[in-house]
Amino acid sequence: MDLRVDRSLPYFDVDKYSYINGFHKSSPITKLCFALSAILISVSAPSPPVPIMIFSVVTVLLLFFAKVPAKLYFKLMTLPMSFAITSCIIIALFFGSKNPIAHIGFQGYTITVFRDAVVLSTTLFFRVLAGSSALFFLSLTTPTIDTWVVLRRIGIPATLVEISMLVYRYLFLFLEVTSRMHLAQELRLGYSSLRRTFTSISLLATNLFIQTLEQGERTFNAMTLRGYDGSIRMLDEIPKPALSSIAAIVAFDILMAFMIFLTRHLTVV
Amino acid sequence: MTFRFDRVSYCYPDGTNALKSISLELGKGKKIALVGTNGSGKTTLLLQMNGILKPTFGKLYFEGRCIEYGQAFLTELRKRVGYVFQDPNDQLFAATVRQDVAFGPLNMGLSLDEVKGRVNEALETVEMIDYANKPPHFLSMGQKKRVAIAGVLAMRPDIIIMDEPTSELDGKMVDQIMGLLSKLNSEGKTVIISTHDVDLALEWADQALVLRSGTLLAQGPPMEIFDNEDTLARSGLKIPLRLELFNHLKNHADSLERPFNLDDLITWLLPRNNDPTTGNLMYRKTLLDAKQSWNP
Repeated sequence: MDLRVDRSLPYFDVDKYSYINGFHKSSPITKLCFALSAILISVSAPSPPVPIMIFSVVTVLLLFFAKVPAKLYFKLMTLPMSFAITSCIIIALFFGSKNPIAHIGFQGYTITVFRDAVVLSTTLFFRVLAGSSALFFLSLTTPTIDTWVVLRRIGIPATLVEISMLVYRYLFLFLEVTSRMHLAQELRLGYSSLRRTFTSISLLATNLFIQTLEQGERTFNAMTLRGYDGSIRMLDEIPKPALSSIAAIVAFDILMAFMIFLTRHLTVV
Repeated sequence: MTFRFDRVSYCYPDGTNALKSISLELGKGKKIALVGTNGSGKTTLLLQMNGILKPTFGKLYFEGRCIEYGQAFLTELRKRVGYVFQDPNDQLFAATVRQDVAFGPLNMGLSLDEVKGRVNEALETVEMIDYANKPPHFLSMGQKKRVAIAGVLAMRPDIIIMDEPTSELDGKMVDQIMGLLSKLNSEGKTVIISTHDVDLALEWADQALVLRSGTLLAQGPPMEIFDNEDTLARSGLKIPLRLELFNHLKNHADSLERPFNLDDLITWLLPRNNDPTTGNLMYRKTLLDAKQSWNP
């Protein structure tokens, strides 16, 4: 069956590369440790240098070792970064109270830019940059199923993991159903004017809602027939983490913590 | 005998009478085809056999025991009776093929080693072992169907029910799936399928049941059932190609000099359809096929 889904959507590529990247044989525990510690260090850094280092290391790992296409990686990064840039501009302009460094006049209004706001906004920008890249490192190198297995082992409630598993599976199915219905509507001129577009979208949403309910019932029946009793048991086979990689991550984390200490007073202004 | 239906009726909550007083018996170790047009009640009938739907009236027996709808009985029943859904997307819910196939055996409370062994064996039977760690949305329809079968095989049921095994598959894939079902049958499993393809039922099954708007029109060996033009006409199904050809030849045979063999018959028939279209080629091929399989 042909998938008439818009394959240019980045979700499909994220899912695809999580299975075929250069790190697909490494243990998800290693990858999760690396990504989580990198995120933690980035968000707790009081100044930009450490987040910049983490961003560079993660980017090099993703592009040259995991062999994820640069285009996909940067396309993914634009989404969180566009939010970050907007918020950082607002913080730089409207926050702070000490050491004014500039006055911007605008049609009779004056905005005073304070030094502490600029420091905060630049630090924040690089924290988001490093944190997002580390998160994309996890999603681009680790298949979703592996992440859940690890999350379940560290005590995340089974119900939560089960729900995300079903959501993950049926998300792809409903993307497919949606794009097929969309195509069918488009071929019968459902999107030829703004008015028709609204009608078509509302019909599509209603239909999709009914279909999800029906799908849920069919899936529940199918699961019942194979002995479902309210909890999904899983085979959790994941490779054991290599001690050398864990040691390397610990060393990297210690180095970064040390760098945080060294660069804690470094600022842009 | 596996299942026995005693005047089973089923009415959906919306008031549709999907089954009307059906009585039938299904043989053990047989290849059974449930044949009927769309909406004739095939799926409703199949869903009675594992307790998903409960007859509104009538009784249903499994190996001589009346089916009870308590959890304990249903669990035992479902371990013995595997059900493969028409749309594999209904069945494949897990994030990888291996996880999905392991779902049933894990629910049976088997040991991890046993589960892993069964998963590998089932995936090897359906030739999908290379895709074990792939998520279902990477697979084609035929591959999904095979994984859905593996998910049921891993529970090692004695009876396998498959709703429309050939829908949405190409010819080669149909042969593969039906071959697999025959192989499972030769290992002693009872295989029950539903289909609207009379040619398939005639060729594959050794017991056929014809349904029409919730009533059972006929049951027995497929050759007898589909030879009955009255049954076929009432069921709304089309006449199997093989029987149509056979009847056609029989009707024209009087003008031939007897004794005749199939070769004479074909040379006698061919010039009458000598238009150089593909239709003629198809006709010629059908005749040649018939020549090979039919020996008067």
